[in-house]
Amino acid sequence: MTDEMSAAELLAAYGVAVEEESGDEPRGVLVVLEGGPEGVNPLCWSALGAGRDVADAFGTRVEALILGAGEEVGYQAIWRGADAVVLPPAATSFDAQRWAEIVAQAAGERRPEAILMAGTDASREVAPRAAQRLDTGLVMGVQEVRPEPEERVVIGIVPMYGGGLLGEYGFPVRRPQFFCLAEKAGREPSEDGSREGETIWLNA
Amino acid sequence: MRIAVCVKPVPDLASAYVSKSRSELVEQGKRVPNPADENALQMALDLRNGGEVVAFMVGGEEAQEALRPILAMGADRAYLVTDPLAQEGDALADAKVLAAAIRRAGDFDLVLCGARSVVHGMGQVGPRLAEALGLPQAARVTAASVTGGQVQVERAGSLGPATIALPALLTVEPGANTPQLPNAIAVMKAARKPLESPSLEELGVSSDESGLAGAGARLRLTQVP
Repeated sequence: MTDEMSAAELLAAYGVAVEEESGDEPRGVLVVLEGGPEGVNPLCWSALGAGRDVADAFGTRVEALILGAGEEVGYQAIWRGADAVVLPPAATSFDAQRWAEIVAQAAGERRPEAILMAGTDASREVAPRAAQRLDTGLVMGVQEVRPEPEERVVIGIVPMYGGGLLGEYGFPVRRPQFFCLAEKAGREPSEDGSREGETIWLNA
Repeated sequence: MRIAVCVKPVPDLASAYVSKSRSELVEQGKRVPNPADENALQMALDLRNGGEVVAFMVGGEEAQEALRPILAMGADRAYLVTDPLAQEGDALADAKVLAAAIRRAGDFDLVLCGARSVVHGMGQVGPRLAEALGLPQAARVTAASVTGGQVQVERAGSLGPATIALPALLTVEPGANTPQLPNAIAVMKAARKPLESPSLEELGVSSDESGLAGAGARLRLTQVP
């Protein structure tokens, strides 16, 4: 044995099985945006800003899933910080069950490590349903998301008992880590018309 | 109409206080029904039209304190899941346990929950339960009426009124109505109403899907703002 042996080689020399990284670990941040005839609901931009900050801390990318609108509003998400927009095969107006199915489908196909939604009336109905489909936790009413890159975990800060206490919530095991932000939590990202990104269609 | 009502036992905030040195809520009184769940029960009593109202709760033995007023207010019977392995779950785990208990109790036209609890105020259990039961939902309902196999609802917030086919799940906004306090006779009769406490095994829920083991998100730390 020499000093140049890697940790894996050293373990192998002692007969310890080393599990290789499968490469299919969840990666990236998925931000869910609500669209409509007039474009993306402005309340959602702070979730995109928070998602961008988490992704930058993790050294990964942000994909923006657009519900309730089509490709025509995708550029808005790219200009405000998304690396890609994710679109369902057909845009549907608000339906909690259908939108939850789409969020769960997007999470299944894109495998993000974290999902962020803004605290809109629609998301308060959609996010818990989607989280139940995904068999994961959900932290709602989040005032602040705090990435911890070394552990690849995100902490959500939430008021409890009407604001008498603040709670820090994390996801010890289950993925994706799912957060629904309080209104105006997160940074509203500025527009940059020079940004470019890709469009990803979910399977029909 | 057969209606299920989910009730969460919560600390009585009127007699609790936040300890700044310990960064926690210090409870001095008994457990009480979550106030919005009392609104859900009152809505069920108003809608039942001679039908049965069944209450469902997950909680320890002390949760019975919070269930008695629900039976006294007019619920016909109750399911209380006191299995130790079902305790300290989050909304993910609790929704699975409640869904299993509701399925065990038979078919319901409506499932009602409070829109949010006074503890975390996240409002997750109702929509999660709707998903687990495969039901359509309306959240933050302030008024409801039933005609012709459909429920018409008014909602707080921006989503406005809706009409939903039964069976369905509604989460009821705090203050949507005025819960009627029970009289002394109703309180005495409540003690004789049927109360079932199924185990997780009887509900068909595994221990790693319920309680703390089945939780998705966990509270790591509390602090005073």
